[in-house]
Amino acid sequence: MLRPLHLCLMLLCACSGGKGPSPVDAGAAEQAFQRGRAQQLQHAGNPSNERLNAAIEYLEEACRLDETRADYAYFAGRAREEHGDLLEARAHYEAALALDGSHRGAHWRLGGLLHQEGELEAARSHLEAAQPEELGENAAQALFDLGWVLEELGELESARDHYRRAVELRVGLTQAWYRLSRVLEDLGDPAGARQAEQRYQEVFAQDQELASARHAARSNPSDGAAWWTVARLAADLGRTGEARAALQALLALEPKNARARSLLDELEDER
Amino acid sequence: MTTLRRGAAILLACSAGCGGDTPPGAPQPSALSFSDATAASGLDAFHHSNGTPENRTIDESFGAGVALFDADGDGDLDAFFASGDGPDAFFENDGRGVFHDRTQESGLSDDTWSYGALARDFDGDGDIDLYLTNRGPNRLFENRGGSFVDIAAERGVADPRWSSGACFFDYDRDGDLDLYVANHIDLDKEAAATKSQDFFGAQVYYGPLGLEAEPDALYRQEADGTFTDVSSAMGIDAVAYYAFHVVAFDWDGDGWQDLYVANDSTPNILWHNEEGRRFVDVGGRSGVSLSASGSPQAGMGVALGDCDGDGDADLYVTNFSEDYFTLYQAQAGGRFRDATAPAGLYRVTLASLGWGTVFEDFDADGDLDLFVANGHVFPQVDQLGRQTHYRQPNQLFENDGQGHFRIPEGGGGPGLALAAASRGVAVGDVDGDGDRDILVGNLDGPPTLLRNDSRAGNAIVLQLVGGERNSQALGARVRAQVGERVLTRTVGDGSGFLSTSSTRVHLGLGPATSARIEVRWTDGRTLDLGDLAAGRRYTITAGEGVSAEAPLGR
Repeated sequence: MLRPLHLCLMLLCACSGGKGPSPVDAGAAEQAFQRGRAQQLQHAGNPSNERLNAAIEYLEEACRLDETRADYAYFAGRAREEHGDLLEARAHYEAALALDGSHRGAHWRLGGLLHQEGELEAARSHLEAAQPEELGENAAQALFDLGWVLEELGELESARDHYRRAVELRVGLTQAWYRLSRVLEDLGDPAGARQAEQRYQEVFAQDQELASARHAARSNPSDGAAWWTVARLAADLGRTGEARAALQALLALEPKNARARSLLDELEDER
Repeated sequence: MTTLRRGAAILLACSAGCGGDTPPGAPQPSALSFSDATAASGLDAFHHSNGTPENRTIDESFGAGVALFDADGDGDLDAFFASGDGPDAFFENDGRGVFHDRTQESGLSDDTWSYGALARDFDGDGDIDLYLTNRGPNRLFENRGGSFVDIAAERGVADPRWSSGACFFDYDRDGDLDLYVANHIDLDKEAAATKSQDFFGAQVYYGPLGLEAEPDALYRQEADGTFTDVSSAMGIDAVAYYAFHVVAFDWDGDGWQDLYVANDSTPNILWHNEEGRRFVDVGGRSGVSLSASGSPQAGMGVALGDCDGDGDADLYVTNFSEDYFTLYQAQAGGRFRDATAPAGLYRVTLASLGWGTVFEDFDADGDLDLFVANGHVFPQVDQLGRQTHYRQPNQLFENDGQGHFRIPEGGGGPGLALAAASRGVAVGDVDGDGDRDILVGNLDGPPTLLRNDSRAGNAIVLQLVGGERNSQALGARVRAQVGERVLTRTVGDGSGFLSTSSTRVHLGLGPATSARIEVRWTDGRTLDLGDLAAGRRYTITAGEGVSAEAPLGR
């Protein structure tokens, strides 16, 4: 499966004049990478693309300065993907995998992009190689992604199992409940489909509530109560990353807020 | 450019042209090409107007419906433009694709804010009338020998709400045409102008979320030609979404016309017609109300057609930017599958905000290609540094014959390079050369007429003449056997966005020189026409067969 990627790397080398990778400037590369990651993290949830554009610039500079680092390419891919530059993102993930064939994050994201291109078998191969269960906070999403590809490949039982595992890990994964209801109907389990549909409706409503709370908090970032609402709803939906970020925003405003500290500790323990 | 990107670019270049001869099985060079014929046609004399340039309120963000129809019965396609707060316009075709403004003579003027233009022979008298959807009372212009008179109020269809799409179809199978009107928002324009919302850091107009949606309406045509509002009795007003466009088709093949309604930011609806007794929304069950991941999208326009050649009607729905436009492929049992990605249509629309869309066999090779009119709703988006822009190029996708689409080589010709805030789309043979051209309505500007210059295969064109009260045979199905391939088309399905395409059925045959044609009329009767030769236009009359024929093209 990975042979085309290796071929791609060889051709990339050939295209750059056959001289092999340029000399590594590890220090400068690491500095650019750290700056890029900082911008990328600060961009999260920010409606403006200013930081994301800066992140792309720094991360791609890091890639250029040190062509041996798979994680540089991976995070450049994530930034490109978030920006909507899917072809560039794909090239970065392929580069990451050419450097480190076991890079689970790159397998996961590349699998997702290949799915969007309708390349189902290739998508499956990468998503399986990502070992979704091992992807930490992204495990539920990756399980869903693999389940969806399996569903489209006609492997409905396996798709169902992946969706179920995904919602076990993150109860608020709306799309997993939705597809689970569809696949259960296809499998001739109307009662199960109805149950999953009901859960989808519930989670979808909570999701809308969270979106509304998120909007309120961002519109008035000094409102601690708004951040608490976001944190609570996000935690209920299993969106621990967003819940932690909201709690940190709240604690920055109210450092002694005991319930925020307690929920944050709880979420850190789960981590 | 980074080493990585430079390398990738070289790779792409090599894969496109370094290999010498095209290997067996590789895609063939595209024949699809359109050029901009707006100025040459005289249609640049029309300028659409829709309020403030910054689109201060939501009603200023869409519109620009267009209609191609034979208003004067001389055999060619004339053009009508619905123009927001400006004057609507009617242009007469000289038969060769050159148009002259005849708005005053035609009587087709309207002082309300106009959105959609539905040209149909609603009364079955043989000429084409025009239903105009407005923010304010809708108009029904009856065609009286080439001049038009508004009779909406006396016939009972002057819906005063803000209407968008509309569709004439025979829901109760009594032979005449009933009317579905898609309504949008109960808008207090002054109040809306005092609000705004944040869009990635820019302040833009408020809505639709947060504004009150209007329910749609269904009007039954009575024997005397008046209409009765049966929305409540038929279950149509049970829900209210931000409706944009509606198409009619027989979803489950039971002989009763169903409806698909694209709604903005809310679930789309598939109204199942329960034998004329009531309508029930089966969109959720059949898989056409949400995206594949269960989210409502911003449904705008709808294309209906059998894009994979399996005999079922598939649906393509245009949506907002940074989301994908959705291809719902019909499966067994009335269910649909989101086939956007396998069809090659996912990534290619993410930067676009789509409106009018049509499936059409532009190169007459026997499969349905896809056209989409694009343009953002927020002029402010240009200041945000995002992937998407206010004025956008339209898009043409070529079908490979298996329901897989690609951008044609050359992008579809110079006409596709133009960028505008496009909305409505109508298709028809404007210049009488035998192929299908495209008329695009643009917001706050002149329209775009795209002349079809494609290298095309052989074709047959059918003009169906239906029963006494449905002279255009709306809803009839045509089946053409071309060698091993079967083409199925629905007459006047209403694809697009707030617009009307020609109801002539254009069948691309590729190299074949004939096709076996069968028509299924809306009353269930079928007519086997046997083999018809390519290169000709046939008039097919219900109960009669081929009643006239002529060579195709000039």
